Order: sequence, then structure tokens, then C-alpha cells
Amino acid sequence: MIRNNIIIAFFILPFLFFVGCGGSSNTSSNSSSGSGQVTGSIRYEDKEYDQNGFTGNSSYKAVRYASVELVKVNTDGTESILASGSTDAAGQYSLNYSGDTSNLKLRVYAKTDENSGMQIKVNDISDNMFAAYKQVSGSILNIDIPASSPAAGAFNILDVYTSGYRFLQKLSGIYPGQLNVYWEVDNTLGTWFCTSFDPTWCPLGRGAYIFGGSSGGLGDTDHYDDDVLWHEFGHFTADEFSKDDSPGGPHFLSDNDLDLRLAWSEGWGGFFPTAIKAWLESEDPDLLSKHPQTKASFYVDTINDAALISIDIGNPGGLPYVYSSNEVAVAKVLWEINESFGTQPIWNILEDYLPGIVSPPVSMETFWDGWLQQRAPTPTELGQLESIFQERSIYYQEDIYEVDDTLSDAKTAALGAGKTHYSYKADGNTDNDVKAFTATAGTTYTIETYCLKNGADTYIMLLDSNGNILDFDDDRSDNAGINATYNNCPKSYFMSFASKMTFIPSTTDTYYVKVKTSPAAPSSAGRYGTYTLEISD
Amino acid sequence: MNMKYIIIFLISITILYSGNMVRAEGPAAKPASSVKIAIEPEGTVIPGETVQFTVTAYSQVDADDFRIWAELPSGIKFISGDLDWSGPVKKGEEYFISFTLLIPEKGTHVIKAGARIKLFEGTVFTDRAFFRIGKNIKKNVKGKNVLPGSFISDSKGIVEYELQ
Ligand SMILES: [Zn+2]
Repeated sequence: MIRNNIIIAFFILPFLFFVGCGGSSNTSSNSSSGSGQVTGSIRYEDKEYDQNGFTGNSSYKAVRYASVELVKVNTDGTESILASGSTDAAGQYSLNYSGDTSNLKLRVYAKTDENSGMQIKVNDISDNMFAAYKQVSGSILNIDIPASSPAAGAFNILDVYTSGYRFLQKLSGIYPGQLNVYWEVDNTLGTWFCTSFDPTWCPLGRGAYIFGGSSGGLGDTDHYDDDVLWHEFGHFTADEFSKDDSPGGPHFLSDNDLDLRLAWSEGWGGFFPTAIKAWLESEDPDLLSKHPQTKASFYVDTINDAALISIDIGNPGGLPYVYSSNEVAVAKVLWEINESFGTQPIWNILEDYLPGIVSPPVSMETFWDGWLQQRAPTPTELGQLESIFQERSIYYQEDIYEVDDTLSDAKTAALGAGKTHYSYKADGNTDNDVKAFTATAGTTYTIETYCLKNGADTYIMLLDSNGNILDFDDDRSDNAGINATYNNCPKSYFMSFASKMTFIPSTTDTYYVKVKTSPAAPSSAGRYGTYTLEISD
Repeated sequence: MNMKYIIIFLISITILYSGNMVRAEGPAAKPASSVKIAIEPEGTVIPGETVQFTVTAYSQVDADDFRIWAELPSGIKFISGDLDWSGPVKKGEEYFISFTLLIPEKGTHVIKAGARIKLFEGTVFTDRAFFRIGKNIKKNVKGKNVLPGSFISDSKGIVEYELQ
């Protein structure tokens, strides 16, 4: 279809023009007035990449749905707009005009035309909209924007985000609202998405800010890094359609003790490029910039044409990419769900479930809750899902000691042996893990939790055989495991939420330790964490 | 091997990177590479004199396959030191190479430095840094600012580039 349209545009339209106007067809002639039509295609040069960076290959691709103007440059330097319109999906445009036919130029904006329904514009860091133009010298004017042009990056950004809008329309049924992008060659401000104005980070307000390299052209550029652009688009979609409680800020792919809100937000951002590429691969692979052999699951960020970051989200290896507090693990879980169930059910949770959640904050855990709520999965589907999460050491399932929520259901603890527990109840209730131990009068016992993972924050209570609370502890005061390994567990931010107490009974008897998620857990932690409980003498 | 291996966890780095810090709030930044480098001269770079440079890398992940290097442009004379080192790295530790160069009397020269970590299945983290000697001779191609067109309402103006 598209190819036919191109043929029509190239051959039929000029012919119609000649028939219709019967005269001043040469727009560059010196005639002072007349009417006519200018038609042609607008393309930009796109750079191919693979997992090692840019391959050195390039190809021209359509500038789609962009605003175009036919401009008359007056003798005093002012401009008159003779006609305006847009390119189509194939980059074709056609403008009819009347007026002075001399000294015309065709301008294309790095902005989607409003009639397309999409609202994307790419501005420079001084808030000027990018445009490229060419002098009109006939009724057919084709424009190629080479990668060497300082405007080329703006047109790649426009194209990448145009695909983003179309993907969102498929998932949501509607296009997102306005997306402003701020970029220019040598922009060193950074690459991020701002939800609102900030004088330091977001001086032009809400929008995506994109690196354009720095002094001498050796700095980081992201305007041809489609995966990075789509990562930021992921943040835009979360802000536009879903709920994102991330505090933001710097983060490393290899951090696996991130604030759960940040890990979710960035994990979504890591997953989004893989999902859209997988979709384009089936729908319209010509729109992709990746080498055909490069898997859609690769995330590549380049610097000086080579990979700054290159990682296969679909196959990232084990450590450190584990837990709900690691963004790669979150992205990998979403990728696997996408492979098994498609993007739509994932999106439905983002669009329809998460925005309604006031508390707790949005994280991998609330996504899980959303899946259970929206899909009421069969045991088979639940098992599939559990194994996807489990593969990343995320355990949203009951541990082997359940049922152990009450003193009467308590399991007996083996002294001096740490045991792993999951704070999770299949019925959705708060989990209490209760252990019984026999303590001898006068002996000192240590009761502690450690190896806190997946956003755990424990709270321990010591009870006597009648159920009276003898002692409790929320956060242990010795800072163990925060800055160094502890009991063979890697250091972790979540160890600041571990618990510890010592106990010297006056009477030899059976005592109970009850562990639950701290009622004072901060927003950075979760409810379904993993922890080790040890009682020792 | 001249490679110096700093075992101490520098206090500043611990504060900056350790897990228990209150993470700085800010916009949703793109993922950072798990290796960071910097290149710095010891003292002032004076044409005609020698100066020692240090390329420092900081790893955010344990890795067996790590490389740190510097590339010298032609016209710069290498005096002594290491321009390349590879080996295993530990998360949270710093690694560096040092070398001494003779600075030319004139011209613009760029020393490029890089660090790269390779992990499982093609996972690569790199970082680049450079040090420029002499003045920046790159001319930025500036677009022309023009008066807003008919539908430009929420931008300051237009920056446009002519195409041939
Ligand atoms: Zn991000």
C-alpha cells in the first residue's frame, strides 16, 4: 500500500498539478503571483546499531506525520506561510498554494502534525523548535536530512517517539498527550524524563531531556540511541497513563538493593524498549534501527559509536540481576511475561490497576497484586508466573514453613541455623511467621533477621508460652550488613531494616518468635520481602 | 605491573555509592554504566613540559574481565607508565593507570581514556573520558533562529537548518 502511494505521489500528483494549473508550474520562476503544488518525500538518515554499538551502516527513513510549511521569503526578510500540511506514513507531502511563486522554501519541523493525533515536538535547549528547510526549485521537492546535519538527531528522536505513540495507541486505544523533547548537538544537561519543572534538571518543564554530546563531540550522545530514547519514553508512558512513585535519581543496572519504587520504574523503562522492538519486529521491521540479527531484548546505549551499556534483558545472567530491588530483574520478569502472555495484560495493569492504588507505593509487588486482581489466574498460570519471578529470586509465594501464623501453628526453630522465609500469604493477608524454641533460664539467646532481600523490612516479637509480648525490635541498631557482608550475605541497603534482640529467660520454658513486615516500613521497602531468621544461644 | 590497587574504600565513594545512603532525588535518569572513569593530570599542563596523568576507574560490579586504557594522539610523546591494564575487579573498588607525557609546544591534542567490563552473554559496561590539551577548535554549526511560523504557539521560536 505504502509503495503504491509513493508511486502515486511521485508521478500522478505532479501530473495533476500540470493539468490543473495549466501555467506557472515552475515555482522558482520570477513570476510574481500564481498558484501551484509542491510535492515530494522527506527522509532522515538513520544509523544502524547492534550489540556492540553503531555498525557504520545507515539508511534513509521517512520523516512521518511531521508538520511541513511552504514559506515565501519576502524581500525584507520576513516570511509568509503559503501553505502548511504534513508528511504521511511514507514521508510524502503535498502542498497546494497560491501567491508569489518566487523565493520559496519548504520547511519540515521535528514535530508531529496535529492532524495525526500525536503531539510530539523536539526543541533545542533554548526551547526553539527544530526545523530543516530546502529552497524550492520545482514542483517536486525531495528532502533528505543527512546524519551530519545538526538537525538529524531531532528527526530520529521524532521517529522513535512516533513509533512509541503508535505502540501506545495499540495498547491503550488512544495516543498519549503532549511530549516535549529537549535536545541539541552538544547538550550536556543529561538524559532523563522530567514530570515537572525543576530549575536544575528540568529548566524547560515536563519532558524528555536528551544528551547531545559535549565539547569536541567526544561526550555521550543519545539522539540515535533508540533504546535510551524508548527507556525515557517508558517513563513518559508511566507518567501519562499509569502511576510512578519512584524518587528518581541516579541508578546502576547492577544495583540490586534499590528502593523498590525506583527498581520498578527503571525496570519498566528497561523493559519498554524490548517490548516495542519486539512489536515493531512483527509489525514493521523496516522502522527498526537495530541490525536484524540483534535481538529485540538487547538494550544498547552508545558513546563515541561504541556500546556504553550493552545488555540482553532477556538473558542477563544471574547475579547481580536478581530481586525486585534490581531494575534488570524487573525488566527480565516483564520480558518473560511478555513472551508468555504478550504486552497487553502487562499494560492493562499499568493503565487500569496501578493508578487506583493509593498505598502501598507502586513497585513489582503492586504489579503482582494487579495481576492477581485483574486476571484471577488459574493454578497453571500462577505457577508459570511464580517460576518467572522465582528465576530472578523473587518469591511471591508461601515459604515451606507455612502455615505458621499463630503460636499453635508455630514450627520449632533449630538453634543456630538461619532459615529463609518469605513474607507472603497466598490469601492476601499479612504474613506472620512464628517459631517456637525451648530456652533455658540464665542462658543468653540472640534472635535476629538478616539477608533481607526483595525489599524486606522485618519486625520481631518475643512471646512467652501464654502469648504475652516480652520484647520486640523493628530495626537492629548495630548496622550489620549495610556496608559489609554479614553471615555470608552481600551488603544491602535493606539490612538497615533487619531486626535483632537478645534474651535471657528467668524461667526455662517454650518461647515464641513472631516475625512480620514492619508496620513502619518505609516507602522504599516492600511487604513481600525475603529474610533469614536465626535464633542462637 | 605498576597497577596500583586501592583496597581502602574511600570515604567519599562509600558515601556516594553505598546502599544505605538516602538516594538523591531527581528526574528519571537513564541507567548509568557500572564502570566510571576520569582522567586527570597531576598539576598544571604546561606546553613543553612533562606531566603525569592518571586514569581512575571505579567499578559498580564484580567482574573478571575488566580493562582500563588510554589512547595517545600523534604528536604527544610517551615518557613512562602504563597505558593499558586488564584483570579482575571488585565492586566498590578503584583501579587506575598512570603515565607521564611530554606536552607539545603547540596544537590541540586529545587524550582519550576508556574502561570496559564484560559480563555474562555479551553484557558490556564501558565509560569514556578525555582530556583536551590546547584550545577547542571545533566550530559548532549553529542553526538560524527565525520568527515563529503559523502554528508555533508553545515554543520560543524555530531553529532551522538549511539542506542542500
Ligand atoms: Zn530511567
